[in-house]
Amino acid sequence: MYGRTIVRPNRMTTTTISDPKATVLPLLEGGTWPRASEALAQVTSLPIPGTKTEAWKYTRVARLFTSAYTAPNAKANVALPERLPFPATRFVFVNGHFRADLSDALNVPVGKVIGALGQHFDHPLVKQHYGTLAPVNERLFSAMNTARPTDGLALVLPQGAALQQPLHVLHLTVGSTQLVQPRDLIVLQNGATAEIFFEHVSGPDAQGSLINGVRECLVGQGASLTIHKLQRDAERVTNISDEQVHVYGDGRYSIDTITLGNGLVRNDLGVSLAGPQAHAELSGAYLLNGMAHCDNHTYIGHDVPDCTSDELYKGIMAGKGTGVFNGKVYVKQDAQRTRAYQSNANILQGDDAKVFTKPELEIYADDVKCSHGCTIGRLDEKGLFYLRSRGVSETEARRMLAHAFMTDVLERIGNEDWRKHLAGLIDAKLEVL
Amino acid sequence: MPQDTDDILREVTSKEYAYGFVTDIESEKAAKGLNEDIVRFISAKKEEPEWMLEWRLEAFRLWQKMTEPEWAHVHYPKIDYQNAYYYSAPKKKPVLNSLDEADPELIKTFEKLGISLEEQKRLSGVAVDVVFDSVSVKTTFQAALKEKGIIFCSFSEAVKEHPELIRKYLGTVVPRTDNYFAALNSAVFSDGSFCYIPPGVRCPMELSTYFRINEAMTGQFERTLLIADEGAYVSYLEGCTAPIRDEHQLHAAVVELVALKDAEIKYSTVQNWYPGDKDGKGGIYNFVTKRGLCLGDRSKISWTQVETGSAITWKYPSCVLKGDFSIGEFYSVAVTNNRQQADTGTKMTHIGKGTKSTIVSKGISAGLSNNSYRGLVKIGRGAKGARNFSQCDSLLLGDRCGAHTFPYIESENPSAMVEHEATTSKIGEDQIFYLNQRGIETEKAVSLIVNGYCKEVLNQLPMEFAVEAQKLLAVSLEGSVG
Repeated sequence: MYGRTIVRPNRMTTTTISDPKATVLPLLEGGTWPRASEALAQVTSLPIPGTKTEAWKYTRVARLFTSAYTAPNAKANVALPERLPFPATRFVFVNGHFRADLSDALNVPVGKVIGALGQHFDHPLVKQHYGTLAPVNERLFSAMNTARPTDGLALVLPQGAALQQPLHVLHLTVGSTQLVQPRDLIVLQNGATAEIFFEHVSGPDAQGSLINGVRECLVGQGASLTIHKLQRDAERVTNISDEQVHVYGDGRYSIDTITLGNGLVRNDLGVSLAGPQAHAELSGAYLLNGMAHCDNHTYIGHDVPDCTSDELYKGIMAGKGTGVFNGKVYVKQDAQRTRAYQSNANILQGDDAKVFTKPELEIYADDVKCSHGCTIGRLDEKGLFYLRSRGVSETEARRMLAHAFMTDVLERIGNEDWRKHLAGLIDAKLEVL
Repeated sequence: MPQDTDDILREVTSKEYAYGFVTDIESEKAAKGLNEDIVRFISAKKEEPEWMLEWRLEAFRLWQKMTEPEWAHVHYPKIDYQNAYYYSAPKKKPVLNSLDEADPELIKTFEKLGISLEEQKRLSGVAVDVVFDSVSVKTTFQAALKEKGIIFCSFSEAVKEHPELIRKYLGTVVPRTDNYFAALNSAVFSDGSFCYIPPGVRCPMELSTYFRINEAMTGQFERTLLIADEGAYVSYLEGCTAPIRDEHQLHAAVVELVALKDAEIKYSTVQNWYPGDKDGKGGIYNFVTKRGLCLGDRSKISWTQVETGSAITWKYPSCVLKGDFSIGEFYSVAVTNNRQQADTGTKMTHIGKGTKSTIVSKGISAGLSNNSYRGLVKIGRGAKGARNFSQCDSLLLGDRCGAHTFPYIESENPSAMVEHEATTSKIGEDQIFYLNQRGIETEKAVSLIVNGYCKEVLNQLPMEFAVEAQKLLAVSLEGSVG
């Protein structure tokens, strides 16, 4: 697998190299964004995670480094999907590059930043916070991203500001074997509010592409950030992401991650509750069939007293689908009166489907109420029987029960329009499961 | 335990980090360090046959290639394996004439634990009178066991007397390559217990190492092998509630259980080894590999443990559920106080159809200690209709201790049902207040609440053991509240 033969033109000799990172390194060199050279050095030194790496035990990524990637094509022609069935400002990124020609024009008032990150490094807050939350010295993929990000969303809202309407950030991946590295920065100052939809869609020709994103979010005191993430990438497309969030006192961060694609997905999500009364709400749903693989890694750090977190992830695995969940709740010493709840429920529907789950608690304070639960099972036989006895076909009955199983997650989503939209997408996915 | 507590404390605290020990009887001691000659020396001392020596040597060679595991949530200075003695003949304890000569602190602990006077004498090294001589106890029980065809003897004896059984089962549940400490144990194991229950026999009494003479000093590398043949039943007790002081710092034991068709093994452990002093100096490192194999259909293995001692506990009594419809159970109470560290749990590997497992783990942390539950539930592709239920609760007494849960759950069979739940909370102040109101002082109230919290596990212990274990919990948590 490793050890390919490459020809080095300057010496004109054939050398067998053992560094599989040669498949990505040429595309990472020459990055001009802050911390790029530091990150590049880390890419060279950090190992590719293998099955012996605890955090990547169930998700094999070594094969991603077996063939070379190409640079993301900014000019690709794309057919835009339908708009969301409710008002939202649409920003389109094609292969990670911002496409003003396809995006809604927005009159951004002074003081706010809403646009492509690459164009806003002159803003003091962007400069100040970029690269501070996602460390480059631990995680190879984050280092790769930081070495040469493609582009992404920059959102800075000053004190008390709000978005006029939600943002819909649409990432389209077209063309094969590209290395696309979206990079977002969201800074909400005290009391600001934002709601953003991130949608990943890839064309059927995107096979072999690797989307490797990093997002940093700062939620100031009393600010509120709501992120909706919809992942619908095609088969043989890999979507790896790292989202690091800091929530200050009385701040609120809420995210729902809905994975309906057919490729390999890995979502790292780290939330640090850094001020009292901060709250984090994490929800996730994954419906996997075919060879789909979805790995959700979450970390919630209760760094100070009086914070709350609530986490619910649910999934249905059919075909050869594999679901992985690793949730960690970390309560620091003296983070008293912490309330943390974590739950993961899974349904296996195929003989070859698999699930690996690891809900962890690490607690160093005593006045806490923390609990986690996880279940793995199948659809309730009694419920099936009940529906069958009332003349509902087995397929239909299964679909109804599966939909009901997912309802818990949907009900946590505050935006009713989005909830309805998702319910439709989930139903469509259940049809093929 | 003839020494004064203070003496022991002084000895332990003044001692440098030496994992070995010094005995006065020069001729009975192997040289320091670990190499093939030492392994040969141990084997020769035990007059073992050639195959046993070969088995040990191979284990030693494997061990040399392995590295010490670092994944557990425990911290300790690096162990220098070459700076220790691996064989020493048992030390003779000085014999006291009466209990009055024994350490009064020790007697007080015994009284709290409710240990009988005769037992107290035996434990504190007082010469016991003829009636209670353990030799006679041993012979009475051994006659009863022999009648049923049960073999219960020391491991060394079994190597000589029952080589066919040892060769058939040794290392089949915990292979030498299993982990670093299991490999080390396989190379240098000192002694231990061997037990075989013939087909269809229900062992008439709780088997305990207590009844076996010569067990006083099985050494730091104990090895236990227990086989229940078809349809047999045995309940086995290990350890005791009395505080055990031991000069070895590292203990790496291996326990292997094999249950054939329809057999049932119940294995109960109460561990109360020296946990080190308040500042975390000294104390036993308890790195144990325990595993049971439910080989036959409908077999059952049940582990129950009450862990209160040791400075560091690294222990995962596990079940491999190979036979169809076999059952594995794990009930555990782990208490850590002061600077103790425990990383304990279980592994349930479901291979056969209709296999079931239950995990109930109760962790209690106090002082500056860290208590972790680490478990694996693995449902294999063929484990149709497998079922698991796990419950891991942690109770925190004090704001400087830690309680952690690391459960791994893997399922590859759609018909399996797996449930896991865990909670972590503080001891209820309202409950303490309620008891205070009724005239029960805080320390007693805590002990009552903790006992109620652990009831599910303590109920699994044989009766007398359970009573002692309850008292032990109270003693272990002394001074942790108020």
